[in-house]
Amino acid sequence: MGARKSTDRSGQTTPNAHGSGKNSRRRFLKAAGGLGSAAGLSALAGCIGSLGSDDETIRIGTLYDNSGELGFTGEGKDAVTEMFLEEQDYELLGREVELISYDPAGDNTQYQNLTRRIIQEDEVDMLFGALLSSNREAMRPIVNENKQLYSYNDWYEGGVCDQFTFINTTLSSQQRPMIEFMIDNFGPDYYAIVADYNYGTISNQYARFYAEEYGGQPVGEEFVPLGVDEFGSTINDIQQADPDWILSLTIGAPQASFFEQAEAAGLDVPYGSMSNIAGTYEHKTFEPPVMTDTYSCFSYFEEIPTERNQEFVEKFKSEYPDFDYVFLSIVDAYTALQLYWEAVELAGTVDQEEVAAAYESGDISVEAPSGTVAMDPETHHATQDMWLAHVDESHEVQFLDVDGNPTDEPISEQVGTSDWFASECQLASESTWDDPITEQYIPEEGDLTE
Amino acid sequence: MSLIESLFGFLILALSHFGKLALIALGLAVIFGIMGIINFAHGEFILVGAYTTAMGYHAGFPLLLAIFVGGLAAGIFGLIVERLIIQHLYDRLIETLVATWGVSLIVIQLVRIQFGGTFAGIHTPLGSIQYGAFSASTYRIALAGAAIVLFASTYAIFMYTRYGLHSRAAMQNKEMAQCLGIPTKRVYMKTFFFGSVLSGIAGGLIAPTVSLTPDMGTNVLVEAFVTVIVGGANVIVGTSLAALSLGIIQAPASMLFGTLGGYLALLITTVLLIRVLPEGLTGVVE
Amino acid sequence: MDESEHATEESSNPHHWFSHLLDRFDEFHARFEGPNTIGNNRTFWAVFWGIFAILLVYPMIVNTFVLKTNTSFFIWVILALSLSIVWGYSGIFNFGQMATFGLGGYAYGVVAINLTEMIGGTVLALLIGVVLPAVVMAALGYFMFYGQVSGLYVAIITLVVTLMFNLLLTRTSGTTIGDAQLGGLNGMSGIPTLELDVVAFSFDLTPVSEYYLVLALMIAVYLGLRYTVNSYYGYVMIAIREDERRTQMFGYDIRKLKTALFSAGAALGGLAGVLYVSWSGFIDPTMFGLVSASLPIIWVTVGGRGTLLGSGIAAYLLQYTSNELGAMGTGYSFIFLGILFILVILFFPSGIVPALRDRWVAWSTTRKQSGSVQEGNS
Repeated sequence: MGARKSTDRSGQTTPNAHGSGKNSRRRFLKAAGGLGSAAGLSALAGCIGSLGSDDETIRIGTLYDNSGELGFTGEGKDAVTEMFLEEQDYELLGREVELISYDPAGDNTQYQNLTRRIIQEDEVDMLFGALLSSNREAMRPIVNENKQLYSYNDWYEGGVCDQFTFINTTLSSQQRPMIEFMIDNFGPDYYAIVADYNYGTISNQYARFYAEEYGGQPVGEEFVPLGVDEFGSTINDIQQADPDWILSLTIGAPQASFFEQAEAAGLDVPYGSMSNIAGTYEHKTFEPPVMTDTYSCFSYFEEIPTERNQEFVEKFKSEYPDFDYVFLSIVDAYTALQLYWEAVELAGTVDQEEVAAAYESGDISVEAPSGTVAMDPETHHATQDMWLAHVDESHEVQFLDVDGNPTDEPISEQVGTSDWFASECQLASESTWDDPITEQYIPEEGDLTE
Repeated sequence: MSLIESLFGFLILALSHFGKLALIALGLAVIFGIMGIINFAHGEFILVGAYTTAMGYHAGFPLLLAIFVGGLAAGIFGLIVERLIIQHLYDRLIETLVATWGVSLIVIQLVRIQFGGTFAGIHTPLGSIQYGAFSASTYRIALAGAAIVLFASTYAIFMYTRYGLHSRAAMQNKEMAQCLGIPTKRVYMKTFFFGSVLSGIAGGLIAPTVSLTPDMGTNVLVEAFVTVIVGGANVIVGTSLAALSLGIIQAPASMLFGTLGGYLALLITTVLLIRVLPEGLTGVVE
Repeated sequence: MDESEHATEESSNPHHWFSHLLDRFDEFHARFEGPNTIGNNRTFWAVFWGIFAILLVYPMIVNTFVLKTNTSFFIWVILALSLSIVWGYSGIFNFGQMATFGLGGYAYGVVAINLTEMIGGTVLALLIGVVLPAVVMAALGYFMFYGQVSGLYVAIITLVVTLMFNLLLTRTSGTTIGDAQLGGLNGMSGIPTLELDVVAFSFDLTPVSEYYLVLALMIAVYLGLRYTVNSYYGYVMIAIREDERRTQMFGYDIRKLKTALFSAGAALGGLAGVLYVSWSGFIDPTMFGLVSASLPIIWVTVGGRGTLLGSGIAAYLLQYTSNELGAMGTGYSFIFLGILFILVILFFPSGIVPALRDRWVAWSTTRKQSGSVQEGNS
């Protein structure tokens, strides 16, 4: 919404601005329909399902927060969804595409109700949604119960193995090159600052496992509750442990205060980050030199120097000037749509079972802003290039190769899921539409070693 | 870590915890102590102060001036809220709670729509001080000093100004004060303004140490409440004592058991203190 | 005023069958009536059972989604009623009612997942989901009320305890209890739906039967609480709320009573939590966050603190509204909600339902005065 408003504010009358206006009207009509027919105690309630159910129209649903703590992230995802649909002229297989998007506002009960609504009433052909893993876990039982094709596209710890879910984003296991790089270049002893919940602790397990493989080990680990923005004792503890580098798994803006406080306390240790820069652009929100010598490994950064990406960034920012930085979540939402488009075109239909089969064909591969992204048939996770970004003292980003030299290439190409997960999760061979597997696997101590 | 270093580390930590708790609680304590209402949008006054300070700072103002502007902006915002909403709800604790909760929802979302998910922060000034192998931010320690200055000024205002006299009278016995010709409504309005300014200044002061986000107010709300309640009815003495004792408890707990331990210690201490001293720390002092 | 109303009706022809029926109708409701509740006359009950009748046929006219959503609103109504008793009637400013809901939900989830093979496993889980919050809150109540903690301090302690549950449950990402993975912030999923086993027949809850079950429980809780607040205990509750010290002087053990009430409210909150988790199959620690904790407080304040009806209606309407705002997908939903809270508080400071009641009473009194002449003619 903020994005749309700013398009108006910029005074442009480009076709794009016009297009997004058109879409907001569409959304409004949808909303009015929802309100009028009302899930309340009005007897009219039953009629929404049939409202405009033209079989020719393809319906795409998004459930991204537009308000609440992650409202800005969700707005970015909805904005890029609009941009993608405009690029496609709201057409797929020669049929019109309708976008239905709701705002679950970060509330998991809302996620559940709106998932039901978007599946059972709006009868979407494809559902994109959830920001946090907990949002996704709230949605998944309903998605599975209704056999709904579903895309999750926000970075997470990995492990979802689900017949109906297709995932393209950076997984913790894919950040392995960063660990190797840090140990090779700075030394084996690291101190981990970990957001104290699933994403943080599971990613930390991966990090510890890979570090051990490369001969490194943690000299200290601090688990920080979400929302904490006070790091005095942590900084003390780090100074005492005297690590070669710090592994950052801080999540959310309050925890990012760590960097400012570490800088102010005169702590001068390089950061190897699994959670900063790409998704939350701390190098843009903090004044230099707070983030100096942060090394971060993700599938996407705004700064990726390919022509494809620079065009994409320029286009998105000109259409949605509220976004100063094109962050990972935005691009993953865009790539998810690209993958769906390809799968539907391959299947020649939007029939969900057939599209799922197309996803599993092994032929789904798109040129995303981040590079080539392919869908792995067995795990339903994207295979993609990983980039190692280095933030310098003026907060500019360079990409590095294995030896630490600047490069225009990814540090690792076409990275899939971890070996452990690939051996656990074999959806194409073991799961079918009618007898589906719908799990999330969490690595236990020792799982990763085998 | 040598004993001296640990002691030093502990002192610095305790001071910075005290500084932060005292700053974020003072504005709330003034409003709660004198008007007897709960301002659930308290965090958003801090937010307004912090954002305005950052804007002023990025516009080229010196930090101190920017903080002053931040306080003023929060004060004006407070005045608007008071005139539009609070003045109709004097002496209605629960109703103000829900209405200010509404204010908080609106402000957070407006800020998010206007400025996005994060706002360009301010670099922490003053550098660091060394002690042995350790170092700490000078500014964090300076915050404790700033808190003491703010408390002293608030004390002076309550003791030596006409407004202070009136507000103390209104706090002790509203009806009697009215009979004596004290315009309690005006006093309340001024109090709300004053409390808002204090919250805004606190926001400006802590702005260089944290990330600026629309939710920054919600994040400090609980700590501010806990400090005020533990402090009890006496705005100055109670609140500063509460901030001090909670800071002194949080510091070693977080050194020994990590950040979570520190936070849990803060919460558990609160529960125990309330149980032992139902009047708050004020009760002990008096 | 209400009694005189009944009196007029009794004095009209008592032998007529219809009038006899009406008398029985009134007699049946008399036990739920009294000065402590809103809606003590025939009109109210006629409307009440009318709405109930609509709710009974409701599943036949709406689709599964609408039905499912409504079921969740009814569950919130039960939670609101539980807080209305604890806070609205007894004056215990409990900021932790949502914690009882969450505890009930988690307890149900853990037990139900572990006993999923056992016949009646979910019923046992339900019992534990009700008992556990009651026990936990009895302990907390004992801690507070036997230490003379009251008023706002109760609110802070209950809030802090709720937030501690949040902190602790968030870190349970690797924790399992038997077969149940608590799941940390990602929440616990795969929780089985309640299965009712009644002697010989047992059935899984479908959306429709689940709706009827929750509806029945909601009505039962409402009527049960109406009965309670208009009984001797209701008067004691209100006495505690109005003046603790005086009530104590009359020989009541305030501490014991408050602890009991607090714990009973928790049992009811736990029941709502169980129903919710059975409804959603999922629960996560945000239930114990600040935002969630404030919700019941807001419902009860907006609806009218001293009324069961108001709390229930407000819970339904506010949850419905925020649901619809989310469906508009605008990002402005919190702004609308914020404005709504402020307007309601400014224009109906004692709550919507008491305000409407006052208006209704004023209107019907004037009508009765002008209409009494006509009645005399017939």
